[in-house]
Amino acid sequence: MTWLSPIAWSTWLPWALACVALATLAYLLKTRRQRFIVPFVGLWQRVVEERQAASWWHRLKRWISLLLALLLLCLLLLAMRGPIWGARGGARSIVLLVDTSASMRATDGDAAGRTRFAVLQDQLLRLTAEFRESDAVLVLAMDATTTPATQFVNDVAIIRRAITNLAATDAPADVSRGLRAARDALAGRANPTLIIATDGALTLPSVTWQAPAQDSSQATEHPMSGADQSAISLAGIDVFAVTSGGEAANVGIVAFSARRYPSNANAHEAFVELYNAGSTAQRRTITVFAGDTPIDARQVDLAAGERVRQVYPKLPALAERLRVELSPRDAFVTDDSALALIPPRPAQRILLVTRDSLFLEAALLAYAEMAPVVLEKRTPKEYAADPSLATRTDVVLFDDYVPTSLPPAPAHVMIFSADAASLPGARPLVRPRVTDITEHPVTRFAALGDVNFDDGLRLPVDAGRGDVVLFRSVRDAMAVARTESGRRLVWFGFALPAPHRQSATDLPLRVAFPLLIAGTLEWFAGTNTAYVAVHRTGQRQRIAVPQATDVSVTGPDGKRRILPVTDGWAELLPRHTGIYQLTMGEQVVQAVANVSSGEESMIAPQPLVLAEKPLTPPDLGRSSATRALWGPLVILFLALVALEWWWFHRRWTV
Amino acid sequence: MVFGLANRGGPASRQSDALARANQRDELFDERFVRSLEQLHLVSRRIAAGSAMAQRRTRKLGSGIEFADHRQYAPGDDFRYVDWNLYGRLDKLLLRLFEEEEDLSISFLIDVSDSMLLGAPPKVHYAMQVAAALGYVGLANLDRIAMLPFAGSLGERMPPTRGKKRIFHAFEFLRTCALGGQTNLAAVTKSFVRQANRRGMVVVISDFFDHQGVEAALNTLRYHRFEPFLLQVVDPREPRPTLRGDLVVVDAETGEVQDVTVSADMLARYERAFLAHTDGIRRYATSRSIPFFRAATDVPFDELIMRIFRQGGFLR
Repeated sequence: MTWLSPIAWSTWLPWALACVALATLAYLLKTRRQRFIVPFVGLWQRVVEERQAASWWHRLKRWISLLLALLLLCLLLLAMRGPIWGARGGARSIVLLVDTSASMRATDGDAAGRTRFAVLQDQLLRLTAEFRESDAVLVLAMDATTTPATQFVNDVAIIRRAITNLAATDAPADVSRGLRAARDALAGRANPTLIIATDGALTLPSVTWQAPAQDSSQATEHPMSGADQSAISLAGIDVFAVTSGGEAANVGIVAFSARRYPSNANAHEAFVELYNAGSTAQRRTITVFAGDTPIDARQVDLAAGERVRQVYPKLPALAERLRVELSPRDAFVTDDSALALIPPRPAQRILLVTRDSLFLEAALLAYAEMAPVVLEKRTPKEYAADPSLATRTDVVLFDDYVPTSLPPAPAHVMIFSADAASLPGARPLVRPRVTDITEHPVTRFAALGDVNFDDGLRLPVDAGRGDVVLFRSVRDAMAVARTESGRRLVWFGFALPAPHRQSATDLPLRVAFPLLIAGTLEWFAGTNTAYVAVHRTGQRQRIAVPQATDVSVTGPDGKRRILPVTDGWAELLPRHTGIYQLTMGEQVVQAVANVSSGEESMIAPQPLVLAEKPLTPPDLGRSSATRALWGPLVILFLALVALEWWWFHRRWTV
Repeated sequence: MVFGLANRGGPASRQSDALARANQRDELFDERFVRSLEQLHLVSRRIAAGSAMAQRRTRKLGSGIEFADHRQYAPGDDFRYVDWNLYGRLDKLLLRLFEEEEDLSISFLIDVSDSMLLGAPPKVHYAMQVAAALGYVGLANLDRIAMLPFAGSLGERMPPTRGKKRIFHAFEFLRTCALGGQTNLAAVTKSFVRQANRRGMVVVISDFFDHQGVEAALNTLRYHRFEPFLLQVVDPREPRPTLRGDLVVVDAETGEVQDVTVSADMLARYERAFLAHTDGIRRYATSRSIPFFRAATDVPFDELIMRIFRQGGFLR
């Protein structure tokens, strides 16, 4: 016989003894004699004397009554222990470690096209029928983390509900973490049993069936992550596996990212890597979408196990979001598409300081068609009256005006001036001609050889300060670019035509002029050519939030949750592919998560062998002949109570 | 509530409850009771008219008209009473003796001990009503009656009195006499015979729950030429008390206790013992020609009186 109740004997026994003592005391109180006044006790004395011969029976009845009361109490206490008739062995502690990784979403679970996870759920629900009433079961969901879905419970309904509510994610499975969690949960419990429910597309860690050594020096840590790399001890634990299986063929996108060109922020390039995890050669068509617009499609042939990289250069900046998809799709669709975000281009705030230069304004307007610009115009007199105007801009453009002190960083500065007095070391040039143009983002595409200049300036060049001559007139620098103190400066040693000037140049009439302006502004703005990080599902990402007090993230499912911030860092664990929107105070940042895991794209089920021991399906050995006895005990208790009531009223018991 | 007293509180408190109930005697002798008495008197006269006139004649020889006996003539006796017919036959001078017409003295010994305070209504109330009813009949027959409550000894008494109107005095006396005490009938009768200056009938109204028995008391009365008349008052539940389980029974008078476990068998035995006790008194009384009546308090007192009248022993 086994006992259903999880109450330990050491706990149950004192309470049972206390109940017995209380019942005995109650019986003694019940049998306490009541006093009655009678007119003549002599008659009673005569009657009692007659009955002296039967006194032994009377005493015996009292003992019988007491024993009957204790028997009733014992029946009730036994029923509380939940005895089971016919069960083999004692109560078991079972951990269901359910694989909820991305491969479980493959739709090759069965011929009907159900996912591997759906098939596994059905198997687990059937398995619950083999649990005994005395078994305590814990359900753990395993992907990048291991999350308990229940506590240790006996109630099969709770277990079934937990299994039904599980869902596969897009994150890879951290089996090592899952096994350690299961092992720790089973520590100290009776008859520990571990059932690993998976499709078999796992990388099993090193496991040992021996008890862990007491000496902690034998433990090894990963040099980078610090994780314990020693074999996981599953000593004393019966380990089984429930598998749903599947096919092996899969071609997936294991890398996809995009960046702006450093030299041309208006253009960007993308990178895609495919991996054929199957055992046969496959052909796929890769289609790249900018937003919802396909911008590229190409066919790729992959041999078994081959990785193919594709670069998409000079993609137009049609959208900030790129998407790549494979077709035809296979059973594992999660890695058949990926997303990438193009780094955003913030609007340049430009302050134009000029008396009146239509050419400059026109060039800036043309540039505004290409890039986001916020233009502000001031006269030199207004600027001189309030130089702090420059602090609210990204670029200050001085037209034929040089302030006494340049605007402070980080504002970039562009100057058109032929005034030699405005720049120490400058010499006037008479009718200069551009003879030499340096390859530079400023001068890209600018043809200046046939531009006429009435006059100009020979600009001083300080190579030690990193000055770059953009173009020369023979040996005289006519335009210099400098990067200093976190900002950039371009000085053009000539003035643009204006109503108040006699001499000028015909550069504004040339195509080179707007190119020169755009090139300069692009050079000023083109600092953000980095990639937008593409996160891998299941990988924890630390995000710096030095000033934000709270960070919220809205996932691809639209649900918003708060991320805890510790020491200026928030941690994001993307479990699903898609775009995550992080709100840090007033700042909103987007991030992308893809599967991007060659390991997870390998969805071929593998034989599950732990430490040279193949894992078999569980045989929980539930006997159909088991019978819970608490019901019959309660019925017997009630019947005896009724019988004792009847006996008591006939004074057979007292 | 089982027979006896409710099982709440101690014996002392329960006994005081019984005494308090027994002391509620204001309604004992109400108008209805008085009307009943008059009816009883009428009935008693009818019954007495048909009964033997000599049953209640005193045996004292006197100047009555009823011939009683002869005796030898002695010089100086009245010649008018010489029975000349007998002289002619026997040639002897014999005087005729005549019975004395005299009123009867009826003494009512009413048990007011603690055991009589039990019952619903208290047995003492019933005893008082019966005593008052019989006393009225006696008064109506020009007898002298006296009321003598007793327990362990004779209490304050109502002296012998005559006349029907004196019945109210008897009512008042019975309403106010003290109650309670432990029964000692033998001592009571001894006191009574010492104090009584006239022989007569002694009506003992009691439950006869006396640890010393009643025989000695009856013998005392008989020896001193009183005519005992026994009336046992019982509560109808006394033979069959509604008790159950393990109990401690406490004597209402002595406080003596006895542990009992009351079962159906025990109750049957008790009933037999009770009846045996009562029958024992009856047999003793009958064997000595002492009228004995047993009455339950649920029998209306007038019915009891009627039964007494019909069976005789009280009316003359």
